[in-house]
Amino acid sequence: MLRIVRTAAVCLLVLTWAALAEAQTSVRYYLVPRIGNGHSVPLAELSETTGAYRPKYTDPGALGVGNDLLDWSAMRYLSGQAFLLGADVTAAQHAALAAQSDVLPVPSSLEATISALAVTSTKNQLEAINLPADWLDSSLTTRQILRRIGKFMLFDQRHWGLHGEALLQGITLDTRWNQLSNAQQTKLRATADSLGIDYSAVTSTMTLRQILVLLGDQLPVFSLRGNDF
Amino acid sequence: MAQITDNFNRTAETPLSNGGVWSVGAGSYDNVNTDGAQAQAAIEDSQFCVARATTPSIGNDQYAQIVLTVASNAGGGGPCVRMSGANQAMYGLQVLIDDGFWASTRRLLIFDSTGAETQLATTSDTITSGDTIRLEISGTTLTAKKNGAAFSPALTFNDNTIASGQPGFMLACNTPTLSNVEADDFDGGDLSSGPTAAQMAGIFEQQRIGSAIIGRVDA
Repeated sequence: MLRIVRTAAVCLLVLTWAALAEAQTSVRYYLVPRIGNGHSVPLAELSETTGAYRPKYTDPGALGVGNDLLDWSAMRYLSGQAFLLGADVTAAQHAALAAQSDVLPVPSSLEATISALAVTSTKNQLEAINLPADWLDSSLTTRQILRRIGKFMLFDQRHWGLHGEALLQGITLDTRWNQLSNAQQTKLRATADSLGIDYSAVTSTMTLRQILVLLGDQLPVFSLRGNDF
Repeated sequence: MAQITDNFNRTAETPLSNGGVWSVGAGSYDNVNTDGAQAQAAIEDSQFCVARATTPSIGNDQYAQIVLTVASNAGGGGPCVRMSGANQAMYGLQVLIDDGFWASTRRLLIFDSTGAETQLATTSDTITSGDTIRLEISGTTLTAKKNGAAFSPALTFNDNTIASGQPGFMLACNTPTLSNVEADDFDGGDLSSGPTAAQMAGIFEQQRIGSAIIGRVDA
């Protein structure tokens, strides 16, 4: 009898521990597409083409039963219609989100350098959403990579706020400064001015991807979901 | 340290004005009215009704807070910061007390100059009708609070779109009874260090009590 009680107690302990481990969350980062049409609707009418613009997979049920993301913060990148998402996730939520083909999960250790094997695929995924990535190599830590990506987004956001258009509207990352119209150059300067950024080093043959690195790197440290970048 | 407060305790206003301090509606938004004691949405609609405090000028790092009273499933609202322009571009904290009518009930949003909404953060923390809810922006960081403490888990995000503007609030009422969603005791101002009006009142009270005690001892 005593043995049965003891066994049951151990089983209960193991199950409780497993449940706690499952429910424990950690902060993880992802690049995810944007969904919505910019106007809130009731839950019953919510779909990928309705509702406020938001990171994909943050809707109820989007990651399967029990995997709803409830606690998250995101930075938007209008030129790529994407978000840098920071979320408090359980192991199951992370697995469900990382399994999506249109999600780029960020490695959990912010201080580890990116693996040489992952460099090319990461570059391709970033470039696919109009984030310049030719600077990315295996010497950089995850934190350094997110820092630069986040600063591109912050510059792009201010450009949108000032001019009502995305930074890459009608142009590409490979467009050179001397290929921009006077109006486009004026808008870029105004964005840099409003952020107190020095653009005196920009030359006429620089591409937009080079200019974004030069300007974005001057922005101050930012914080996302409790981590500084 | 500039600050704007309004308890709405005056003759009912349609729309809210307080002698021109407030700018309401505009763009794709509806007006805010008052009933002699609190602020309400001007119409029953899921669309937002907004109010921006226009004077005095508030610095870019600022806060806004309201006491929000909401009947279950009636809608909600929240404080807004850096409200600006003809279309009321702004950052807004939106909290709703409902039975699952909306997908997200505690969220931070940015409203572009076009009126488009982007949801940038949510929390599983809960609120109760009558809570004081507050939104702060410092640089590019937005932080939501309830009853003086940060939401837990945190309701915060980083954005660089809107550089300046004024504090205010928004309301949305889903029921014909507009008093089901009400805002009271608006407070908005510079985020710089220094006590709020409520804190100052507490300091004065402590000084008064202290003086009285000292007076007794001296006597």
